[in-house]
Amino acid sequence: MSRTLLLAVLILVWLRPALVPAHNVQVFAYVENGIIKGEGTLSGGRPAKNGEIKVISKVDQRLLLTTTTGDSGTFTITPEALGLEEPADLIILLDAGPGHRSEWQLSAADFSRSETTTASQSGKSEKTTEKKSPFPSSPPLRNVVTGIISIVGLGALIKWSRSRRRGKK
Amino acid sequence: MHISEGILSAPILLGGASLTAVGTVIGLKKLDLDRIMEVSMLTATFFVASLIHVPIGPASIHLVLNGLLGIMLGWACFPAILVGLLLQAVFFQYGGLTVLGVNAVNMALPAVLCFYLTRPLLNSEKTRPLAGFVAGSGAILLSAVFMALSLAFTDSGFLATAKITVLANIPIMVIEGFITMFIVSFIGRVHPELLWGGR
Repeated sequence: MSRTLLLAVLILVWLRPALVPAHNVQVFAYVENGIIKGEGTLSGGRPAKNGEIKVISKVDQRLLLTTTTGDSGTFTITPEALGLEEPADLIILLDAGPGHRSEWQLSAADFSRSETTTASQSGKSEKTTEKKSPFPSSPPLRNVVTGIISIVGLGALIKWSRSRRRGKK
Repeated sequence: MHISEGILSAPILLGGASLTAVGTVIGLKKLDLDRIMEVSMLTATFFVASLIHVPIGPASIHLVLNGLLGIMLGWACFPAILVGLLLQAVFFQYGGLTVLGVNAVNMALPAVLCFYLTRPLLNSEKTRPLAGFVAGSGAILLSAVFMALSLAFTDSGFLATAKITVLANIPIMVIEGFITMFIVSFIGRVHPELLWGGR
């Protein structure tokens, strides 16, 4: 029993770097030329189609706008639609069905940074590059294989430990 | 089928973790260690099954196979599903660590209930496919209801949530019913003793 416990502790220590905050649904937003653009993804990086997007003011928790994501999981919100006179800290909430919710926070500074970038770009004829979502498109094969090896390896270790104990008797 | 982190209230999280702990202790006590490799293989199957997705609406619908684990392992499906979910949270970011207990009980308890429900049907070769279908689809149906209950106890109305989760999982109920039916029928023909393992 103590050997199994030791094994469990070792496995947890080994997995520790991978213990990232786990969310099935993820939303990502940024400000470009004063317009909020974003993307919702499900597990494996698939787009969260027709997911409900709520924009909430961080200061007073007031609901400013409700919209939905498109077929590609993306959404665009203009500052006029929010009815804000000045840039504010915002919470972007994606609800993609029961038990599938995620949020992203935008600060007022994100809007001013966007304006600065736009001003510095004016006069140049350059293409606007869209920001890429930071979420991976699908679980890497390495993770799948490691998971299977962990499960089967744990079983094999218990089996081996049991057969050794029997051999001693 | 996995509930994400940051949604459920603390009492639900604690309740789920407690029920999972009790189920896991019973499962470990009932687990025949000579069958540990069989349990490992089924756990690995459960772990990988979640990668097979059926895109329906905005929600994430994927294979679960908890009915198969229930029918083959009985109470031992509790530790198997717990380990599978832990590794899914770590490696695939499905569900999460704080909701592990709730997700585990939502998937393992229906599997155990289906095990008791279908056990009498496994004796006869004629009723075995039916047992497989009932276990496969029934476990998903009950898991959807348990998931709706977990969400309803936190903030939203049970009936509305249950309707959405059950409706969203109907395709998976049918798919898993057939998959479990074929697997149980096949194992019943080639290695019937594996089906008595959970008893």
